[in-house]
Amino acid sequence: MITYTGKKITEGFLLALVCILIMNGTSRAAEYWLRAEVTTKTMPDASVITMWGFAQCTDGTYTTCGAATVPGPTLSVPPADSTLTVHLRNNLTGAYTEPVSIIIPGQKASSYVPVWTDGSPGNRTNLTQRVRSFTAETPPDNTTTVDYTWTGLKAGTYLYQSGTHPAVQVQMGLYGSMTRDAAAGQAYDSATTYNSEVVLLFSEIDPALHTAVAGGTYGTASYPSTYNYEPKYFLINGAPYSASSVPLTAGTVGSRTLLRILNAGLKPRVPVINGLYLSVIAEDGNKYLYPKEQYSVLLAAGKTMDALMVPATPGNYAIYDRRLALTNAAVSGGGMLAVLHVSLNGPASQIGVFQNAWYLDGSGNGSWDGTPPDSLLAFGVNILPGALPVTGGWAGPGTTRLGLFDSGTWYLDFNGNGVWDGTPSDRLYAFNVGTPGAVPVTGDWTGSGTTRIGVYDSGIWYLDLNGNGAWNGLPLDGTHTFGVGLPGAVPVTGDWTGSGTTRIGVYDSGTWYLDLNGNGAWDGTPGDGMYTFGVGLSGAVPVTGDWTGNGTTRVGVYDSGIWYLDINGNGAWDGTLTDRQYIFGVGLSGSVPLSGRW
Amino acid sequence: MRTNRRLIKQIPTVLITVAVFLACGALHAEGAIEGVVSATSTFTLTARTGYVSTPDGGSYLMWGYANGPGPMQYPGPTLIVNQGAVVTVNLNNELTVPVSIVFPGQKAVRSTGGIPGLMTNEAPAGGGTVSYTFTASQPGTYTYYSGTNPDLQIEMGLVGALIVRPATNPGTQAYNHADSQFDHEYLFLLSEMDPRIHDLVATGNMAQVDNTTYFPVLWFINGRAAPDTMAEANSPLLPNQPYNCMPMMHPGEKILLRMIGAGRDFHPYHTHGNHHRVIARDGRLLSSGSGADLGEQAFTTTVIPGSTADAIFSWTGEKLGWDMYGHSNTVDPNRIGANCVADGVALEPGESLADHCKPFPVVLPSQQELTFGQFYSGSPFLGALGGLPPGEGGFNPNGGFFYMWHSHAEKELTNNDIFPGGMLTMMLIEAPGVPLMNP
Repeated sequence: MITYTGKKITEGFLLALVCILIMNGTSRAAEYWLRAEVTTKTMPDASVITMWGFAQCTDGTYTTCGAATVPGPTLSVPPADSTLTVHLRNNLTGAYTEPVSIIIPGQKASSYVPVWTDGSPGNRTNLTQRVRSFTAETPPDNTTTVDYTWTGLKAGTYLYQSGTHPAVQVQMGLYGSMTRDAAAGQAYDSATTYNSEVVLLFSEIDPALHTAVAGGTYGTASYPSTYNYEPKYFLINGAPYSASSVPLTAGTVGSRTLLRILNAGLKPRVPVINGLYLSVIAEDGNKYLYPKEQYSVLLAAGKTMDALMVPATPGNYAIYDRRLALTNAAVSGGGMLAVLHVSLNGPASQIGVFQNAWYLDGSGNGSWDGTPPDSLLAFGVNILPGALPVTGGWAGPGTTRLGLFDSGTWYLDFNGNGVWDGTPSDRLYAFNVGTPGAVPVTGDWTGSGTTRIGVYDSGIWYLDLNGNGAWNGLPLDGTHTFGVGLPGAVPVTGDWTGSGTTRIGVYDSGTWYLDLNGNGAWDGTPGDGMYTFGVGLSGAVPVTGDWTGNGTTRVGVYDSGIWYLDINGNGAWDGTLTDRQYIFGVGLSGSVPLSGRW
Repeated sequence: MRTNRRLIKQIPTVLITVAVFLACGALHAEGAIEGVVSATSTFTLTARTGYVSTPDGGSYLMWGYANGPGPMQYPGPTLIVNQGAVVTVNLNNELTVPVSIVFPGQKAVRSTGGIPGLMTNEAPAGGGTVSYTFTASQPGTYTYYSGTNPDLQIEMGLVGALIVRPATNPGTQAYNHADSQFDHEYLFLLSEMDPRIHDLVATGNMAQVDNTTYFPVLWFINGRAAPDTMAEANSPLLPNQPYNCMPMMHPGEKILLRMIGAGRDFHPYHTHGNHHRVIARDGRLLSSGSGADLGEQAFTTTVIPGSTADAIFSWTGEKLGWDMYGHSNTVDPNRIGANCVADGVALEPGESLADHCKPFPVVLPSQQELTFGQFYSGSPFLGALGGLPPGEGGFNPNGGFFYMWHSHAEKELTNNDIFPGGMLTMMLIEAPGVPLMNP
């Protein structure tokens, strides 16, 4: 993303760079090539909003560029770089265009020459001039490249935005975040280290302005100015919350996650997080002398706040605007709400096989060592020859426990001692629904933290939503239709998106159909996911697990003792350099693969 | 040496009357916040409809949390628990929409039953139930509110206060540190209302509610708009608004303000009479590790939606510019302060030393040159009554000093455009020895 070059920078800049290098031999400069463009956003109510965004290009030729986005690309300046240069082009088109620019409040620009309403830069020469731009403008000709440089960069979280006609251009979408750490993994200093980060950039849309700009009526009698600002859409990271929003990955239990919270909107916001306290460490890129422990953050317009969180429990944490901008236009259930997903910091899923005994790879090295921490257990086999193995966190998150399924009857090792103790120490469930051929499925269907049971019967799923171990029918329990028409399909379950809730899918001869959006129905791609993983392995059976410990379940196949695991999560076998192959269970004919945290 | 005690000596006759009155009517411990206490820290709340009254004659449909089978109340019951308690809140839902409760500031809240919602499990509409359990691990002032369509449901009234008393001196401290010591505590749960939303819901047009055009015209402290804020708690005239807010104190005492932003707007809450010191936010002492050492003095504190702030207010009459008790030094009128004490004129409890025996600096205007209010005692001296025209001074039988405490967004001192009203109350300083009638 970031390119370092001495060739494309201006002479003056080079001179400055040389001076800096003389002062500090390790200084470098970060460069970005951005281009202002017209783009659109589609709101959850299908409204299409014309936006102005920044696209990131690879170099000064502006021939290879990404799509324009709102917010613009995050400018993550490495700690070693004390200077930032943004080369800007302006490709705004349409009925109404303007010159644009970039400012970063809180960072020191190498030049700040205002441009007046008559188009002249420099000092004000007559009293009819009013300021139009805080800094040099980039005209909308898609040819001129103007450089904006900041020196002596401070560490922290900053908002960049257009400095030209900001009343219009910031609303239109010309903003983004700029971050720079004091050192690798340190936001400001050694007291503010973090393991992972989440950017939460709040902004708003009043469609009236966007319609006026798109239609060329801005500044006319029908829409003279933004005076009657009344936003209708409330965004975090450029999107309002909707039912299809996916949680943001926000680190693991016990680790430090940095929330970089910015407000590019015009109104103050109050992000509140449920179930956690934040240690608010900085404001406007200035570290507090003492952090503030709060569950709420006062986020004024134009401001940035940094906060650390160290969650003790995995799961989803809602963070939302307590000023109640929680609607999409007038419709409840949207707006400025984001879900932060915190995953277990435990080891990645381990593997195992069941063949009249449980062979569990407790060491996680992917091979059967025969000695602890690998384990050989006999849960239930003496009482249930021929039963199918099931695994799950029956009593909550943590160590995966064992179970057996036999024609609708479930024997679950609830106390986790690896032995069937009968009830009440262990659990005996009769989940009587479906045909005798129904196969067991398990998962945390509701995000409760506890694994629940269900069965899959030729494409119909019966799930024990209320967790009482019995089929109670709707609405207490749930059914899905997913996999009908694929007679050879095998059900698979997993938290495909790191949502905290187990979702369903089916595997049919190497093709995976996964319910990514969690609605229990096959919607085709891209709403749901279709992978090809295991094609050509005639004896392969699917296996799923969180192979990397990041909270997301990934796919794999098991073929007579050979495991193929999709480590990078792209749903394709990329070979052993990227993905992983284990040999575990060879020689156990008819063995069933397992995954869990043993 | 002789002390002029003429004004002070007027107190006892007034006091006897008030004391007899209080002995009959006082139901609550002095200075304690109205709320619900449960020996098992288990509460049952029922979400149901009801109507609130506003002083301009308005009556508005609300959704509120009732205490068990009680009437809908706005705000919901103030839940008072002890630090370390395992708190269970059972929610019954009589509304026609799902409803829930979130407890910001409480960790590991477990929900049982109900149906999964966006933020937590919800009690289904029409008789559904859900239960929440958490450990109140840290003392402080907290809020709770609906986590289900909060943009509508908080506006409709599903919001309340949670107070966790500290393990140390739970009756006189807000936190486990002496910096939070108080003599009296008062709740300031601040909210606002756009009546159009309530009218739309009341007329079955909930789908027409538009959050983005929100325009409040009513403002509340503890669910009441002024002057109802100053009426008694649990007034039969306000059956759905049980909580009042009329802080009272004696000179030198400390009031704890527990401030909660219960609506969606910011309210700059302003104390007349003295600064207050904000000692905690969101249920955490402002501390570098030693008490409330990062506390901040302010005469206005912005109360932030969803957030809480605790402040300590004290008042001694310091810098009034005269001796508010009317003491004078008959040996030498110029010897004031400590010199007057040395000359034998004792300080009253909580009196500021600097102005001790300082004479009243102006000649009071004659009655013909004054307008009066119900709060003026007719005297510039604390605990004293001066001559007043018939019918004046009725709210001030003990010669107290009244200070208006209010939102400093002055627009919010109205009820539907009628001044005075809204987010306003009076703080009353009573002379030493005068029992406080409130709450």
